[in-house]
This record gives sequence, structure tokens and C-alpha cells, in this order.
Amino acid sequence: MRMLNRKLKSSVPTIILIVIALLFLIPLIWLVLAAVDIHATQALRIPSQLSVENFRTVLAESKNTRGFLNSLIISVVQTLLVLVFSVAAAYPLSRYRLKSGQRISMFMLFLTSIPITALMVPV
Amino acid sequence: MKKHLELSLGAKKCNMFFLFLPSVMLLAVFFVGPMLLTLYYSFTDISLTGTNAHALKFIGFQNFVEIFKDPKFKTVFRNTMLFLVLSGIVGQQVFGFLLAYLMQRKSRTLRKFVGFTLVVGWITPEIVAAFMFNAFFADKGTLNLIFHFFGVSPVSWLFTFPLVSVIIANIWKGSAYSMMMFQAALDNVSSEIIEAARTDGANGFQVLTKIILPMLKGTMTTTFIIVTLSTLGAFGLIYAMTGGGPGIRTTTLSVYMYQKAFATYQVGYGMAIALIILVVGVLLSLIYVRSTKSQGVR
Repeated sequence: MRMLNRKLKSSVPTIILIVIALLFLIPLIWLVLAAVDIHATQALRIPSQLSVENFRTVLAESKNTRGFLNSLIISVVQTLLVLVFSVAAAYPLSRYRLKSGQRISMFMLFLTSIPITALMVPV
Repeated sequence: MKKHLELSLGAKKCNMFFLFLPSVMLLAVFFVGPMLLTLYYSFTDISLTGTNAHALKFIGFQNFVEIFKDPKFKTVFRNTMLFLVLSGIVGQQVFGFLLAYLMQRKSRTLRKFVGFTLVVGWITPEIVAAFMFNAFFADKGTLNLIFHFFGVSPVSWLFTFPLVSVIIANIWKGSAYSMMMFQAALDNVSSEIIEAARTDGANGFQVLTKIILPMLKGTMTTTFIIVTLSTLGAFGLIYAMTGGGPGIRTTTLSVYMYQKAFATYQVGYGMAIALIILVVGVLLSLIYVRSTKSQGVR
């Protein structure tokens, strides 16, 4: 009886976690199912037949090609630049035991997390 | 490695300077500079069109006086604070911590599964998340479908509870970050200390409040600051989901700033709002740092 009680108690967090995870998944499942459903609605539903028609339409649109290219350029260039610069800055921070190292990294973190909307206009 | 040990102090300093240079320059150009410009513009009557676009006048605190007279501003400020507290602090922080806490010493599969579902939200682009939740909360959306299943009559979420809808979307999107930070921090709390406390007769709740939470103070301060700043600046999600509407019921400071600066072209006025966002963010960050430091543990 005591064993059972303990087992029950330890499985409560597991159940809570699984429920939360499922709740988090619902909107995502809709996105995936609606993407392969020609007659998709705003509500979650099992598609009557799977199709790649939606994808074909998206890819066939010439405007989207430009969009894909833009996204690709932005993400690749941005990733490369960020990587190079942040490695350069991280090297002295970790290699040399700077007195103000903690302060510098906190300051950088703080600056970069400033709401972009607050700085959008001048940039 | 060996080479570095041989470097003189001067050469070391020189090296360091060049390594920091690019990132410091970027920060200066894209963060410090704009911040100063924001400060300057907020005291002028600059606008994107008309005569003021060419000859801007210095008008002192007039923008701020106008903002505090603006009856809309009070609602917008209240929206922002509600959004910040409910979605940022209670939602992402407390919820993220609880998840991390519950996930301690659970099986790898469970940790991976739960972690995956949350991280997916985090890496989803803002615009996709907004679209997803727009459909989720729509009149014929998934949520009403679920409600229908349980026999509850459908609710027009985006019109009846717009702020709640946006808050839920933001929690969905942002909780992973706090969860991961707290997970890493919790893994660093050594189990010996906890066991010692348990032997001394502390119950689970005491262990949590007296041992684990004080040890997480550093992480808490950092995540609090970052979550607060990013929630204050949350724009894309809200703008794409509701556009600040219906009316101004989901307009937060950043959406309001955008509307003023780009829709009505009162850039000076918008910049004054931007400055208020910055000041609120900095003040809150200072409060967090103070309140965690004053209690001795770091």
C-alpha cells in the first residue's frame, strides 16, 4: 500500500508534464495537418487525403522564390557574421581572467536584449 | 596556447582590443548610437512627412507632456504591464521554472519529449506563431472545437479575451528559454546539499524555498532581465495576431510606438514612447539586480 502510494506520488509530475506537452503540441499539429490538407480549415481535423498540393502552389509562385532567396541570404550572412564576431569577443573573455569579464558579458547581453522596437526608427 | 603565455602584457592588451573591436563596434553602431538618437529625437517634433521632416525643432518635454495627457496611453501602459507580468513573469518565468523543477530526475525520454514540444515553440518564427494562434483562437478554430467537444458554446476569443489570447501565445512561444536556463541551473545544484538538508529534516517545500531557490538567484536575475526586456519589446507576435485591436485592447507600448511613428508619422512622439519602454526596462532590471543582491547570496 505504501509502495503504491509512493509510486502514485512520483508519477503525478510525469502526468502533469505530459499533459502540458500535449497542450503545447496542439497548435503545432494543426499547422502540420493543415499544410497537407487541401480543404484545410482553421480548426484541427484529420485531412481526408494527404496531398502536397499546398506546397506545390507555394513553390510555383515566382514571388515566393525571391522570398526564399532573401530569407536564405539573410540567415546565412547573419549567422556567419554573428559567429565570427562572437567567437572573437568570447575568446578574450574566456582565455584571460579579466577582472571586468563578467561585467562586459553582462553588459553585452543587456544591450542586445534591449527591445528592438525601441531602437527601430533611428536604425 | 604556449605562445599566449609568452606574450607580454602589452601585446595581450593589444590582442584583446582587436578581438573585442568588431562586436563592440556593432553594439555601438546598432545599439548605443540609436539609443542616443532615440533620446535626442524624443525631444523634437520630427516627423516622416511635412515640414517637420526637414526642419526639426527642439520642443523639450512637450512629447512627454502629450503622452501623459493622452487618454489612450493609460490603457496602453496597463496592457503592457499586464502582458509583461502575466506572459513574461508568471508565464515564462514561473511556468518555465516549474517545468524545469518537475523534470528533475525524470527519464530521458520524458525530458526529451517535453523539452522538444517547448523548444519548437521557441524556434518558431514570430509570424508563424502568430498565424498559428490566430487560427487556434479563431471563431471556428481548434479551441472552440475542443470546447464544442465538451459541450461548451463557442467563444469569440480574439474579440472577447484578446489580451488573454496574446498572452497565451507568448507563453507558448517563450517558455522554453526560461525552462532551459533553469534546467541547466538546477542540474548544477548538487544533490549532496539537498540530501544533507533532507537528513536534517527539511521537507520538499523547505528544500525548494530555502536551498534551491537561493542557489538559483544568479540565473533568476539574468532570465528575469532578458525575459522582461524581450516581452516589453514583443511586437511582431501581437501586431500579426491582433494588430493591437480590437480597439486598443491589445496595444502594448511597442505596438503603440509603431503606430505613432510609422502609421501617423509622428516620429518624435513615437520616440518618446520608445524612451519610456527603455526606461521601464532599465528600471525593472535594476530592481531585479538590487533585490537579489541585497539578500546576500549571489
